[in-house]
Amino acid sequence: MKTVKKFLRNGLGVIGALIILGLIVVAVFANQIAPYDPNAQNYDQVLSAPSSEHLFGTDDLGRDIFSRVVFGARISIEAALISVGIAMLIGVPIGLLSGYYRGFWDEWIVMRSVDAMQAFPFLILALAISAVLGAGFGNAMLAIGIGFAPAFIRITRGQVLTLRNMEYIQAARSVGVKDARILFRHILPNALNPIVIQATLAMASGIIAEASLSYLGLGVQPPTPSWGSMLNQAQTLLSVAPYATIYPGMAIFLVVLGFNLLGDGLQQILDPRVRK
Amino acid sequence: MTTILEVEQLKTRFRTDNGVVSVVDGVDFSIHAGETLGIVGESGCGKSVTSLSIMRLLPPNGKIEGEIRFNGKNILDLTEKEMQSVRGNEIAMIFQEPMTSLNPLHTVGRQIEEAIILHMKLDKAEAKKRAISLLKAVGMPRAEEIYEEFPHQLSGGMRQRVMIAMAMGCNPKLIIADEPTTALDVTIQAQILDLMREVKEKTGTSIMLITHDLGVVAEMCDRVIVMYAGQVVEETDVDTLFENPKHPYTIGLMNSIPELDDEREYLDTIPGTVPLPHQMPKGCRFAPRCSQAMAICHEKPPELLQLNGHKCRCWLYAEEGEQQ
Repeated sequence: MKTVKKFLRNGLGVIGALIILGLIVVAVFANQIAPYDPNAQNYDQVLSAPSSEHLFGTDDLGRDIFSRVVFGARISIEAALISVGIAMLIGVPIGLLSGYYRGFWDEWIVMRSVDAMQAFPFLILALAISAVLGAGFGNAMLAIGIGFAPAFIRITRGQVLTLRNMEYIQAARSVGVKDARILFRHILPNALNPIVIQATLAMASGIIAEASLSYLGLGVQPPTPSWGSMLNQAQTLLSVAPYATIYPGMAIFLVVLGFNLLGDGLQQILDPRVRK
Repeated sequence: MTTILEVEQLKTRFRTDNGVVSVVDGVDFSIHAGETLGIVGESGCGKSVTSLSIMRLLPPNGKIEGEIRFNGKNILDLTEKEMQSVRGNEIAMIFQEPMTSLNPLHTVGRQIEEAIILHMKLDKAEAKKRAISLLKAVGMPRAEEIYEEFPHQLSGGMRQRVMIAMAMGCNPKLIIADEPTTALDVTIQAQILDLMREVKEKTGTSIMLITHDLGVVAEMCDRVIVMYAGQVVEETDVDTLFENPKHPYTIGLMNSIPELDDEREYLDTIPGTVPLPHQMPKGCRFAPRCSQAMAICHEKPPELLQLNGHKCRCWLYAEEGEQQ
């Protein structure tokens, strides 16, 4: 209860949380909120400007942009959570073990693989992986997750390297605490803050990466609406129908901002040294 | 008197990028039940590595040779799992820096309980009871409240008391205290030393006290080892050490303590610094800094001589040593 109160006192964090909460509500109640079927084409009203009938206007196939943005929230939130979830599931344990036990495996296998993966531009890497796995939303998530994993390995390992030499870790070992317990009860909680920050940032990039892969035909298949694919499909119409890019773009901006504010707010309550 | 810890020809080396570095080089000593042994020396002489070797808590590039017999069995032969049941249970450690030796994310109570639950197999409620009684035993006011608090809410002296409570948790036979008072204010130092003495008297545990402060040694110890550059250079009981120090290094250390009625304008210092582990002099390791160095000192390393129970590693006493 105390933690909740502390969080509520952090203004920006609350705004971030509200944005994310709003996103979740929109995603869950998309059917109720959207006035039209997001995929229904209406050739009478192609590229109509925002009006009371079509709040955000319509795209080049006459689909209601507001409804598509609302349904796109589902894809985006799934993309953010699943891709980052996969990345953490792979990256955090490897980073923990690698940093704690050091030696040949850490130095020559794990870290060199991470270097090799990070030498590729992220999108190229995700593209290559999803090309191997095949098109589709699930495979795109796996590809993005694998692509993000090196960042989590690196950040977790870096934390472990500093923490394992802290006196309180030595002290825990000096009372006979076993390695697994030291890793998960003593080191991991102390390493969590930068991992949480990394996760929120990665969620933002995950949304963008999913959009990019979808645009290239490797992610969400049309006509399923996702903000990124809407943005990319509308970019050729920028001079004729700017609203077709503005609204999905704003949605991405808002959610990315929300994740970042939330991440900062969480850091302030997770870290007792920052607590007042 | 039973001997609980015997260290024989302890050699600890580290593999580094500059080759193998020998930090502790053939150290022998023993600790009896209920005794406080002081280990004195300046930074980098191998005091802390000696204690970490006993706990087998060296980083992976460290290698230990020799024998460390605790209650008669060589702990270097134990498996890591067996060693974990020794740590905290039979040998406990108090660290130098109370500000960083407690986990900032765990409550004080949880940290004290950890070893108790692990080794004494108590349930949560019993462990809590014991943790609170330990907090009371180390002189903590409001023990029940402190139990729930986080380390950052405590002062340095209080944290060191918590560390002592943690170390006492399972009634260890030996407590290794690595500079337990160095980071504390002078008045708090005295309180912590009093507390450690009290703990020792009540529980009969032995203490291995690592320090560079001869004042602390005089207060606390029964016997003293003086270490220099990874070797023992002098070993004797505490009274003899202060009345009749033999090794020029020990004498140098004594002369660098200020006294109340001191009329000296400047304190005596020992010129130079401890030689680096991979650049040890050929002869006596102290010879380059020694005011009484002779030709032989630069040629041949001296042995640790036995002089009526007073051990000293110095060529000045070679004849005396031979007569005995």
